[in-house]
Amino acid sequence: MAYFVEFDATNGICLAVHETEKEVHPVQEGSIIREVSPEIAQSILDGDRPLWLYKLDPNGEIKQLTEEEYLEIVANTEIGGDA
Amino acid sequence: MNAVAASATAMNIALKSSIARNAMAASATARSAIISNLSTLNDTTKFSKTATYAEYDGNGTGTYTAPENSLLNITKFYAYNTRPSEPGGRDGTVIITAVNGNYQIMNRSDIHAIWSDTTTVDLNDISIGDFTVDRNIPYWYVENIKHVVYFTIYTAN
Repeated sequence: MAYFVEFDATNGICLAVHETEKEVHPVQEGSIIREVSPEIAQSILDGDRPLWLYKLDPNGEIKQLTEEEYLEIVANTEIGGDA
Repeated sequence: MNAVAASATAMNIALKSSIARNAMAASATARSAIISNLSTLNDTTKFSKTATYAEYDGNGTGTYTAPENSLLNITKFYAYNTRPSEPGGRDGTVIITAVNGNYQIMNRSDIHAIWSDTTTVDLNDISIGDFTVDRNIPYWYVENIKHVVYFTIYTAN
């Protein structure tokens, strides 16, 4: 059993959590996929926070976002025209 | 069809057959049986499991295209105002429809995302294939509203 977290390649926002013994089926083409421990995957899945309030930082760590931080990231992504 | 729903192996095989998929989607009894037995799909030797969401902005109709050989368990609808300093909207209708089988997963006319107030609706239904999200909030700053559908994808391996 392996766990993977998928992130948007443009802004690092979490898109999905995958649980599989075979290949990962990405939900978005070109996304970033990182294998994580079962504990991290479960903490994301079991938490009250929506998936989009998790982000892949440039240093490779998964960070929790506030709603304000998330909205700012999305607004900046849209301004950049890449969303 | 209940036997299919009760067995991960049978469901794995059935999801790969367009005839079986269509038959399951068309039968309310079969869908109910599948929902009751969703825990059997946690067998990761037969299914890959993905928790994810689909987002739609403002009013209109959006379609989520499901992966091949998959079944979606729709678990939550969420609407929020992306610009909480502006009004947003309220008293809107949102309808989530399973394309295969043409049945409604959600039909609510009390959807609001106004200032920082949000709408959360817990759901537990399935879509054997694509689903559509029709959003119609009648007034105010509807373009600021983001509609999110949460679901788990079970993909037959």
